[in-house]
Amino acid sequence: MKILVVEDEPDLLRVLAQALRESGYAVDEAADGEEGLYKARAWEYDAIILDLLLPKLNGWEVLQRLRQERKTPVLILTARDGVQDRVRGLDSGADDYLAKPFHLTELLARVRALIRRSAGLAVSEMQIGQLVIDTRSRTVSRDGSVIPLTPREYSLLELLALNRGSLVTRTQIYEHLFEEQEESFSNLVDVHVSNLRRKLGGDFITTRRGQGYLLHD
Amino acid sequence: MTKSIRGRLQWWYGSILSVALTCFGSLVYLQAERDMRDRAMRQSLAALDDLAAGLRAARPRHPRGGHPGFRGESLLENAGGLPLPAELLFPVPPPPQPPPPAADGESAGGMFRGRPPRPGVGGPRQGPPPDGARPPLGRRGPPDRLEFVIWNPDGSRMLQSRGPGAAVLASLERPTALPEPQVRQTDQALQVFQLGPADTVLLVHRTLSDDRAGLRLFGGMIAGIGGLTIATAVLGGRWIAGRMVRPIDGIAGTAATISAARLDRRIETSGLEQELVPLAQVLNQTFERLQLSFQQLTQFTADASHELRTPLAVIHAETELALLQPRTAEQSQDLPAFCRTDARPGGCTPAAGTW
Repeated sequence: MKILVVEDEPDLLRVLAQALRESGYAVDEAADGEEGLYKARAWEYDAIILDLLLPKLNGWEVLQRLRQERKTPVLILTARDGVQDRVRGLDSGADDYLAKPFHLTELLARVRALIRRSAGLAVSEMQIGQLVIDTRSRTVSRDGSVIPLTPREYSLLELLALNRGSLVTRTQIYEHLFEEQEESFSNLVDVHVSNLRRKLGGDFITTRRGQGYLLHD
Repeated sequence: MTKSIRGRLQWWYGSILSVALTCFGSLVYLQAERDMRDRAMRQSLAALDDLAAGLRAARPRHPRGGHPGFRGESLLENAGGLPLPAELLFPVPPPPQPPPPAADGESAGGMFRGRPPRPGVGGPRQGPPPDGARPPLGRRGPPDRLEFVIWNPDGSRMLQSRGPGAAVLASLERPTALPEPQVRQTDQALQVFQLGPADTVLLVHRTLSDDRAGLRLFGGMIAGIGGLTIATAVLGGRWIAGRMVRPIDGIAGTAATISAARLDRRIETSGLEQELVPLAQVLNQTFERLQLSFQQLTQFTADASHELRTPLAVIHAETELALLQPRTAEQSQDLPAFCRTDARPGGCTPAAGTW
């Protein structure tokens, strides 16, 4: 799962990125509106955290232009806490609105909820056969026993599970799992898939050669 | 004095009107009084002339010296008080009955009746007034009349009119007369005297009480009408003042509705009276400045709020991040970097252990 954070305050940007990474997300950062809009258009993020008072291009403008092309879930995180601002933000296409100062745990919960809703899920647990994926605690268990996965392996499994029954291309996997600064090798995805098959057992994951991967129930 | 504009307007309005009406009424009254005196004087002088002419006419024709012999008795019998002419401002009615016809020869009444009134003076006349003559207003006593006394050169009385004022005439001393008419005047009567033919002394006594009563009534009427006028004007002034101050109530009503939430409202000046427009404009300018100040204050508060919220959010988030999972000492060292830039200078370090 990859998230774009658009925030002009460097300390807050750093803290947010670190908290999200520690929660298992891949994070891209943008320090102004123009950069944020460029990245939001260029890549497919699972969610965007957007400040309103940004240099170069304010948050309203970023949101308005983004909505002409993409449906990426957007959470507005701003110091403007007036009711008018909240209403305007939500009506402009934002999916959630959180005023500063905020609780980090609440922000993370809202981001999880955004991703879950965009995948059409109502609860934080997904069941695939005998596997139970808990998106809240980011754990996978079978028959009550937790299967140890690396964060990257869990993210890959969650991505496949959220798109269950649909083909997930290698490009999608790269976009959702790896940050822009990361050096990703072409066979890195194959390594992670192979590890997942080994840990989960069975034939949950089907390979479509040259296209991508598919998760069955 | 009252602090109400309406009351003050009425007060000044009523005061000025009272002074103006008092001056006007006083002038009219004084003029009427002067007219009355002038008229009495003219009548008295005319009567004096008539009397002298009558005496000259009644004088015997034998040229011997000594006292001229008059047919005084017949003159006296018909001279029981001469009625005033009818063209007075407060006309005197005719005597209760016409005088009896002259007993013999010329009589004082006949003598006067035979002389036409001089132009502009109006001689004394007898007889009933013209038809339709009204009784005098406010007459209290007997009608004013002309009476006379004629003294012989030796001081004895030759003739004296008979009438209601006979007692007053009887008590008169013979005045020291000159060829020219002289005047004595009291509140109740006017006396004109002069030397007559053959060193006689002629005196005409003109009572004024009836004229004075009419004058008093006239003064009362002036005062009454003036009072009524003032009362009507003050009531009208109250109504006008009420209409004048009504726009002020409108301005106050609009100003009262302008609050912090509705500072954009303004007083409508297009329908206002010319004198109130500057007031409304000044108020509008004040509201304008107030609105601007309020906007600046709101903007400042918003800016300050924003400036405070962001660092607070950083501190909050980093604190929570630090507690999100167990960390080693090295990991913790990196976390509170924000405190040196965002929070307080020099505070919030790991060594202080306050973050």
